[in-house]
Amino acid sequence: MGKLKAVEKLERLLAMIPWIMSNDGPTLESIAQRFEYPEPLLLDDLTKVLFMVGPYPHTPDTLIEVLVEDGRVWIDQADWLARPIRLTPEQGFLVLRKAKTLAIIQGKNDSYALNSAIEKLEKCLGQSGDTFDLDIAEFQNQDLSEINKSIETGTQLRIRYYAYSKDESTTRTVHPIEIVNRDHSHYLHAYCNTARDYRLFRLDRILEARGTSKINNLPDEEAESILNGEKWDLESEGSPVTLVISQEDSWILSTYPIQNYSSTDDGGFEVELIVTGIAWLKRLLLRLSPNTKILKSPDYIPADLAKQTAIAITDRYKQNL
Amino acid sequence: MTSKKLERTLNLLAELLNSDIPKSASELKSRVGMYPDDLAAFRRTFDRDKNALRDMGVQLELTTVPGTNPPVEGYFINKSTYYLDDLNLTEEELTALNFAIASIKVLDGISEIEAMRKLGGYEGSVTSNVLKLEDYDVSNVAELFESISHRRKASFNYGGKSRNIEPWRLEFANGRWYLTGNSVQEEAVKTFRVDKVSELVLDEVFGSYEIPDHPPRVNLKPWSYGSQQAVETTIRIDSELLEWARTSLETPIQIEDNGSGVATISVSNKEAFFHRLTLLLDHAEIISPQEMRSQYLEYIGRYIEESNGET
Repeated sequence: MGKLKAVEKLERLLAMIPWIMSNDGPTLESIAQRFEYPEPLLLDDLTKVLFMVGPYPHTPDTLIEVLVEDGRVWIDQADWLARPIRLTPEQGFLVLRKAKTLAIIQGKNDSYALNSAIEKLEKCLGQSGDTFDLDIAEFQNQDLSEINKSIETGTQLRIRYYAYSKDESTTRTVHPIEIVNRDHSHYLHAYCNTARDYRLFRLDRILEARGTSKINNLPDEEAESILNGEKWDLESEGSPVTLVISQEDSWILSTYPIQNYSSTDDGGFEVELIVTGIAWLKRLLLRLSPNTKILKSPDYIPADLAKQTAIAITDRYKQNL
Repeated sequence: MTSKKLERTLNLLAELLNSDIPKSASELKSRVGMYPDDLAAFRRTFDRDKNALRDMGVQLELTTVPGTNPPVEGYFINKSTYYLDDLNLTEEELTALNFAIASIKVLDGISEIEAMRKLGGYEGSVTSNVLKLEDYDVSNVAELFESISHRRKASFNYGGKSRNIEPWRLEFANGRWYLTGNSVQEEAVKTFRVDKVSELVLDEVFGSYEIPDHPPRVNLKPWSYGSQQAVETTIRIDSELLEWARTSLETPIQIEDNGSGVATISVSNKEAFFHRLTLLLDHAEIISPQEMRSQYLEYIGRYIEESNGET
């Protein structure tokens, strides 16, 4: 704690006065620590400034009384400052949002005090679970509290992860750092032993997570690089694929990261996009019209991928007539 | 802020909080007794003090001083909007809130430290950072939060149309904020994506409407919107995709003994439902009704018939 800026002193004094008044003679040290107010400055402002404050006519019976004795502080004749200023809309929103988010992450069993604090805050702010709600689908992961504990304790985690683009699951050990949100989804940001690099794991694709007692052992490399969008999920280098799509599917031009595109004679488009996994392309093809063509692709992607995918789906139905 | 300035601002607050009627600037100058005599210097100093109070969330109202003719404007703090309600937070609850503040970092967000001080103390030594949220513009969300808190009507522009809404519910779903409320003009419940709201203004009147007990949740399931009669459709999902299906289909899933899951979905728009189901590839299957199963196979069959590639 160094010097305080102009309004910081005012803001902190107005917040601490109610607290001092409701606690019987707290110590200067505890006040200084709780409200981040340098102790010598606090003593000065309490005894030389606050002591001179009160409504007109500033007579002893209207001025605030401050008593400092044996390192303890009492404040009297300040009923008009006995309660703090209400939270601004931004403050109320932010505190309640953070509290509710953590309560979801922790799970109901681990957050009794937090949940009761939320109830009090909601009541104070004129809110309720019905008027202000966070529905974070990825946080419904049944192992979220396990993931949370590993982040809090800085210990390694064994996860089974479904790679969406490859349509396969693998088991790996990761060193969890934090949960982050990107493009409207939430991910575990961790160092992955298998990839030997930092990766983002979408929470709803973590099929299973088990904590270990091994302490995280993060390499010195810059963990922030992944958050700048350089590496994503488990996807590796992609391959260019060229599709011929009909006009009705032109929505993909604004929805997907298209490398190049050009119009075709019949009003459709020839589009080139980067495919990082065959399963990703299968899903895309089944969202596009059946007359979509794969014009160019690497060897591992067959030209009739949509047909093969459709056959695999219908085969499943044939097995369970 | 020197000690003298701090003392003066606190004395200005003392005057305003100890008065039941508005006080003019000249009266406040005289009662505080610490402002410069020169009028221009007084105005500058007085403005700085008012701004310092407003920055902390003090609502300084400007209204006519009763009994003045010609009317004189005066400053007033409404005590019912100034004070924070007594929360009676226990030390454990305060610690839990501080831990939440420390656990979730909002990048480029607004500071909540001042809020924690108002609630009883900020514990700067707590560090956790479990969740790092990159927030988009949340200023409208905070304003709408205020609107619901104090039942203040909101007017805004949405989709090129001017709206007058009684906000009921603010909800974060699928990574976005949504507002549900009563549209005054249309007398109908409407839902809005908050990031598409512009020119938001809150009504000055507090407590101008009531919120029903259980305002409806936002419905983000495209297969539930449609003119078709709703069909209860049961699907089985392989264990590998259960977690993802839970979020993608936004429905509870019952886990079976073999690890797979069964979910029942009300479908009013078959095409939207089939679109979503294809994302599960061959990891899911419609169990019933038979008609829906046949229609999906027909839908998928088009890709077998029309594919131009070679098998």
